[in-house]
Amino acid sequence: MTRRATIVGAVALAAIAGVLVAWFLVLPRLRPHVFNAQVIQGVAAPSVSLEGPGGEPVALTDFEDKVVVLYFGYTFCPDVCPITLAKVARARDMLGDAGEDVQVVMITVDPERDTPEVLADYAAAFDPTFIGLTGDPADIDRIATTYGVYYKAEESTSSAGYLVDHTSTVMVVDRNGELKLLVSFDATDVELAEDLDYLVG
Amino acid sequence: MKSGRLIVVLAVFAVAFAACSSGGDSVEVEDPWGRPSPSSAANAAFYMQLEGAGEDDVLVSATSPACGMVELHETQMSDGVMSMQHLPQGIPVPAGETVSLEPGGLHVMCMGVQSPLTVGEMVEVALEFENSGSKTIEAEIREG
Repeated sequence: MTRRATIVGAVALAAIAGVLVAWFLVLPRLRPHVFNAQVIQGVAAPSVSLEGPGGEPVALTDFEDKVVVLYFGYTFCPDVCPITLAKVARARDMLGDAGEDVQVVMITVDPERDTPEVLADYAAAFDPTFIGLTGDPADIDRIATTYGVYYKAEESTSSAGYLVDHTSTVMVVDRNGELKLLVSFDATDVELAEDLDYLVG
Repeated sequence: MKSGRLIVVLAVFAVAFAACSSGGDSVEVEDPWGRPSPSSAANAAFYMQLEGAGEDDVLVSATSPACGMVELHETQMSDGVMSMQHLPQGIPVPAGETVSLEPGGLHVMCMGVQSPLTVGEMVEVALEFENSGSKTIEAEIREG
């Protein structure tokens, strides 16, 4: 009888211990999060291999352990591109130290004008860790297409010569190399920071 | 004596009210600003509120010593694709209405920034209106 009571007691204790372990160790990892951005499921991020600062080859796979924020834009763009990159920089700052696990990559849709030097200066002006990529127009065309990014140089009466229409969406690739989020131009810095915080966590 | 004073006060109010409600005789520019420019970026944008006068007006052009050339542009968003339109006809400012030049929309585009625009700097911009004539404003450079 007493032995049975001991067993029952031990089982009860083990059960309580199990619940406590789950409560304090497992549950905090199962952080519930509803993404602010549009979520894509099960799509491996198409490969990117272009020229980074100084013309060095840079591939998306170089940032395997990081969450990568991808933006297609161009340095001639005075309005939407700087606003978007400044927003991404603020969101990354909001993460504090965890922001170091976020790599921001801008891919130019204007390779004719955006040389590696121009892009390096431009990207670094928003945050010294930001990287700008350029390359052969045919490579950029192929990469943009695989990411569903539309861009087109439009002749204009502007003395800028031509202006480039382009998809303004920011994309986020998670640590598993999956294209995870599409972030619209209207998203706020806080909304983006919440999503990035979850992905780096 | 007392009623005389009251009439004066009422008259002052009436004049003040009339001046407000009929709109000024020229367009007013409120809160002009722009973002700091990345050092090597050729271009920047200025934003502001244009408060319409008593009659319709048009912002026809702008110049600035900080820019090689200034044009009036509008960003349009369609299915997530951003396109920028040059507005050679200018930006209409209807009587009594406020037109917002803001990120992702209408803006004064500064091409060929002469030197990087830094936070806290005030940039002189001369606006040319069809009816209100020229107005020189100072745009504050700030993050947003």
